Amino acid sequence: MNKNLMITLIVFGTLLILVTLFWIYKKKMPIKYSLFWFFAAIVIILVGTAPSFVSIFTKSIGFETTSNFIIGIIMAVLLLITMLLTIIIAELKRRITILMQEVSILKSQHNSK
Amino acid sequence: MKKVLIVIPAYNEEKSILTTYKSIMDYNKKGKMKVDVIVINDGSSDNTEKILDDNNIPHVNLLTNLGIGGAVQTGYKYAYINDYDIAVQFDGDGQHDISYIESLIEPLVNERADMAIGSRFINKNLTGFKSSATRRIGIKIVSFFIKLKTRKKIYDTTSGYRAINKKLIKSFSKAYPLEYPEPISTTEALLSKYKVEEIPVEMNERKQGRSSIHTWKNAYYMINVILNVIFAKKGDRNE
Repeated sequence: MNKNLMITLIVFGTLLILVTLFWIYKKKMPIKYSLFWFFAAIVIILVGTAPSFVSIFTKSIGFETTSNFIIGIIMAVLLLITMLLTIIIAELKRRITILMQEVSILKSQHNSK
Repeated sequence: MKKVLIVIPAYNEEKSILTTYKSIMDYNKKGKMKVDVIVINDGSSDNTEKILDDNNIPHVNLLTNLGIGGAVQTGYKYAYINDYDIAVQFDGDGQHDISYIESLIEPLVNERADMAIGSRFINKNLTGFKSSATRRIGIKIVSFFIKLKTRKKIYDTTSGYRAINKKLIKSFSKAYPLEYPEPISTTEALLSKYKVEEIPVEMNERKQGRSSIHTWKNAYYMINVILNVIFAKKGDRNE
């Protein structure tokens, strides 16, 4: 793997850790959800420091170069996250609907008294 | 005597909601039976709320717009809380005719059915508005898929003039499809072995407002409804 890509990956991984720490510090991200991002950052840094580890998988899966393999993996993970978010949003929408209905009924009963 | 509640979902119906309400009150004065009304104001941005307040029309104001499914379900919740025997969904835009209510709830009163759908297509002698040609094709396709899934032919799959009994009020108040509610809830009710009957009614062409099914959304609507019917399961979906 190209040296520049290695450096980019290490820098990107470190930035990801810093950004995650920032959101935790601002109390915007619960620790529970930050664990995934720390894990992702550590994997990215590991790939940057020891690319030979990754290149073992690259050819066997069918990618021509290690960099393509890395991009492929990142895309797969992002797709999975987006899918999970769709499910989470649908569930939140369902709960908000129930909340709205119950509060609206209570409010109308309260007003008519 | 059964306690009957008319549930009117209303989104920006300032021009027609009062006429609709008055037609029901007129019916109460001369009809054989009396019905209660609850209007569910689905976060209207026009003067619907003011008209409801000024005319003392019983209503629930939803804090935000929930869409037709969420609004109708609010009405079913209200019916459940207040112990109604029958809940009738009724459009606020003047499409539905209250004089058919007795024949609509008759199968429920005589315990022949759990749900009765006011249908435009089962009595060819009745005239009235039968929807546009493209929409009728859409209704036929949805009808075909419901038959495929449940083995029961429902002709007017999108009719919003429907009555349900106490068992279904309880079930729907807990779980009701938020989008495309009519065909999907009918399919789910049939799969759960509830009895559904269609009753011939005449409908008017919408006087004001727009249908919740817009022309440009038709293809999207069809795909969604068909997939929902295919994946429909027996029992309460949202629990």
